[in-house]
Amino acid sequence: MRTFLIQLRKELREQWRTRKALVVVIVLVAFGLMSPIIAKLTPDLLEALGEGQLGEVQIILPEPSARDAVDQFVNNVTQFGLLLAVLVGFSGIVGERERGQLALVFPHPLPRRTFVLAKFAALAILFGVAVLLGALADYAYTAILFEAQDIGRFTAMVALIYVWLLCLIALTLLASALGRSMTGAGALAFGFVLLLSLLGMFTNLAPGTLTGWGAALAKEIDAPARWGALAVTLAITVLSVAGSALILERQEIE
Amino acid sequence: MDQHAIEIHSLTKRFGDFTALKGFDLTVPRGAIFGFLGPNGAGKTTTLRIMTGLARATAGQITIEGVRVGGQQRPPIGYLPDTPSFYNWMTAPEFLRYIADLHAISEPPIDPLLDRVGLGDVSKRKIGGFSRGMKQRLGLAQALLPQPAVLLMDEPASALDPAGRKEMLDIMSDLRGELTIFFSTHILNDAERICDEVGILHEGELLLQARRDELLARFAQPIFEIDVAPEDAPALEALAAQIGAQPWAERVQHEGARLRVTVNEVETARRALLPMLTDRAVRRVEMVGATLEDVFLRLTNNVATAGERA
Repeated sequence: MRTFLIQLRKELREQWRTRKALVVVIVLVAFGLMSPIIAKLTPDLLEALGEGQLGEVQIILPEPSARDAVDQFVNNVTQFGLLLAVLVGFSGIVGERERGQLALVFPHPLPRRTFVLAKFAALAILFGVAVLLGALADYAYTAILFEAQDIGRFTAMVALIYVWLLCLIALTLLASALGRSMTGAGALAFGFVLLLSLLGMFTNLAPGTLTGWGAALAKEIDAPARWGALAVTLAITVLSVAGSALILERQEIE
Repeated sequence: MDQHAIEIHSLTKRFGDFTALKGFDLTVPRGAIFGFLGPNGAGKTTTLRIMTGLARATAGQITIEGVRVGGQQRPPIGYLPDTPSFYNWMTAPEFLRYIADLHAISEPPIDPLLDRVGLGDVSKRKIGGFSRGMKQRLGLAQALLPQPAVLLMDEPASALDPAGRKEMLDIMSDLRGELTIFFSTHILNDAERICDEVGILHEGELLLQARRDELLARFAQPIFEIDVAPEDAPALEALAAQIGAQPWAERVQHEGARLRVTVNEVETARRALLPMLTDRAVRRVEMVGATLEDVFLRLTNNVATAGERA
């Protein structure tokens, strides 16, 4: 536990000093703030764009609501959260191996599984803080522009998005452990993401269905609970982290 | 307690069909500065990677200070890779603090250690701005921080400029008596300068292991060094060929205005050699002892020749 905390502190400091933390937080908070604004302004924008170009044709859009803000938030955070998770995570293991840093630190008493666990924990903390701040910004702005949402349902939505992001982070870490080069690891990470997306087209057990479930909860729409998808997502996350540790344990470091 | 700091038994490493290490044995006395010599590709780095636990042996066993490498317990080692790579966003004291924390050292001697390796005045600079020599010295500091019984170094001075190399060798020399040093190198002058004992590895096989002085004495062969005036240097090529054809000449090395002639019969050589030099602008003729380089070349050439014959 002591070594884990030392390594976790090193990872968190690295995120801060290399500005990775700042980028992730700024992007997700920005989308948290923008989501309700976009939802509010979309009808006006469309109206302004269509004015004078459609002749007698009229576009009738429903009055924007807090539900539109939820849709915007879920879309933005999942799209950019996915991109950030892959970009920030894929170099985690392979990068240090390629640069020769692992050859310097592994002869010291740093178990490889602790190294992997600390990497995952640091990314989980970073994305946890960023999603939380983004969600708070979204919640506050939605309350100002529309109405306050049910806090319990909103929290459940954010939690489901976070679990889905953790799964992506774990898979990206697995790609980083498997990849022989940075390019290979990056390609593999995007491959995993693509595979998850394809899986979502065929089964309701895919991790991607969690975000839809979360959105439905926040919008107070009747939709089936996706407990199976939640279990599958958590299982993939745990197996990916354990797999990364196992792979690194067996690897020979150049 | 055993008098050996390092014991290697039947160390074998295969990469697919290629055998990098062919089951050699080696022992390093406690407190020695041991030079692990060999040309590039001999298997030196592979051996060190196995000793540090970064790679696994296909067969064989390594024990360091009585602790088996790859077992439950960690051997008391410090390791300096050939080109140490750090976290560039850290400063040198931050990196050493991190390493000290991993070793659970509550009050690490960071400042004295940085002073010792000559980095005391750059403690606030990020490592990313360090030169190669500075990184090498910081690498040595991190290896020494846990006060290891055995210091393993992979080509510690090979990539440095002459001044950096001298500094590194001086620091290593200063450590004599404090711990056992095992370092690989292909620069034989470095080994000759500071080693107590050497092992010569060639194509994954240990050709020999001996104390440096014994080795030089055992392989000592009379060598005549002949220096001529620079304007006479072009004519040395013909002279080298002429001497090389003599039955008493084993080997002739030609470097600029100098010939090094290894002979097998001193008196015959002396009598025959001096008349051959009468028309040359000779500045110096001296009989010198063999260097580690002479021993190394002789051994590796013998192996290569035997291989060709086979």
